[in-house]
Amino acid sequence: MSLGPPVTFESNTDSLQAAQYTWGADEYFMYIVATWTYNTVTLYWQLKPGKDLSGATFTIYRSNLNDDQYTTLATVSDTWYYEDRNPPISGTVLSIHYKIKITKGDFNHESGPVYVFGNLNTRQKLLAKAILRRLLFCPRYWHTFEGVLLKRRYNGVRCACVDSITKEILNSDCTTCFGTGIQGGYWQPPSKVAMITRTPLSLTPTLDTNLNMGTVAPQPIRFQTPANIPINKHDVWVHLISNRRFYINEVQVAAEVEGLPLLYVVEARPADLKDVIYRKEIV
Amino acid sequence: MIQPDLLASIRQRFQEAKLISPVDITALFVALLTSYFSNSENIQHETLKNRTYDPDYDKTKIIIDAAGRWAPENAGTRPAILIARGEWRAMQEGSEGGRILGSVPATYVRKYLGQHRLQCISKSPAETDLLVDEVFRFLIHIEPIILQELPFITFAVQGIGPLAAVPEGRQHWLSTILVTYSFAESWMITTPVTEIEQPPIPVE
Repeated sequence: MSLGPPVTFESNTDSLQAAQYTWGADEYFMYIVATWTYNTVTLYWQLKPGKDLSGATFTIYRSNLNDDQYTTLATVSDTWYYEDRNPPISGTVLSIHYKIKITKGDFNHESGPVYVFGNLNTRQKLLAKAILRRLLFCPRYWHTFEGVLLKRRYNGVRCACVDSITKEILNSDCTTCFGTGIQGGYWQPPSKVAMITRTPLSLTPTLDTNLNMGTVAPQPIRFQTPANIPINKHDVWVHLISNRRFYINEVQVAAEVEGLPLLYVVEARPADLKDVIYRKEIV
Repeated sequence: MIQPDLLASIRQRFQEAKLISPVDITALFVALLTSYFSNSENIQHETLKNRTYDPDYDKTKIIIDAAGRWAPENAGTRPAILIARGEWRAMQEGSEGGRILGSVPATYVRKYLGQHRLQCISKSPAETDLLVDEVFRFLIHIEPIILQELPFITFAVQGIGPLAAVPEGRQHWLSTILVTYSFAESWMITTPVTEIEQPPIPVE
């Protein structure tokens, strides 16, 4: 029986600190999340914008115990995730934790420990797993669409289409950065993201009744999806069958356990069919 | 920059129109802008050089349209310049409904002050700034020709509005150019008008 990771702060600790602990945020990481699906632990991270860490490498460490005995798993670069395909499993929940070290030249930065299911205790982990399991069943009258998420880059090599001084994006149809200002534009996560529709999917255009915008694109659609993969505003979700692409406009946490998001409600807007995002190849 | 035959066709449209309507002026802007953006050599801002207009939706890199046109094939496609009428007002000069003094049959003149809004929408704030500036400068530079060729008393590009976020697609941005213009029309009333007798003013 696993005891889970230690809870290192009191339950009434400041909520921001709790969230940072859950998400592994620090001076360099906006978040680090470890999720467990199908005997694979996937680590996702995002560097804070403004840190010039293009070309940095990320060394992934894992520890089975609650001590500092870490094993090096891999060193990766130019990515935002790592899949640990052989995590040691004991009991019904994982007690392992990870660290990520950033290296760029002489610069080194090591993250704090990141636990699967955040800082939850055993009971909370089981509760979270039960909630996720129920969510993954397709509700009887809802439609589930399978797709891939394109994760917007905020760090990396700036694209030539960005103004040299203001750093503003001058060409939104640039096929190098796809309108993000960072070369490559988007990352693609390893696993698919199932979106369960909560509103009807209408692709019928309408005429703006204020006569400001001309004929406008279809209305936004709301999905809900398990929070296995961090989703943020400006990410893109691609419906695999139709290849229709949606910009994520808003993300709300609809279910959480102790600050660990379990379910997102996502508002997405369809990209117009000439948008440069359609030039991004899906691997 | 502007082809002579385009100016000739616009002039002809205004000459043939019995009344200058808001649609005529919207058409003027659409014609001028589509002609301007059809040739990348006209475009002054380097990063907009590839934003050329083509009547074929599959080929065009910019949408230029009347804001009231139902164009589902263009729905949500940006960047775009959308032209919409603003406020129109009539300004009476003189007395007796603007009658030209001593005219027989009675001839009247009315001055019209109008506005059109050119909504420039693009996919990033800086790109919108460049697009709106490109259109702004073009219209300013062409003002003298419009005043020379078309029956406007005044035609003035007033300025550029602030950037505003537009909730569509990826976050889009909008900025508006306001153009004001005025023109006059005269008409004649040939039907005899019955004189209404004024009631006598009572004397104390």
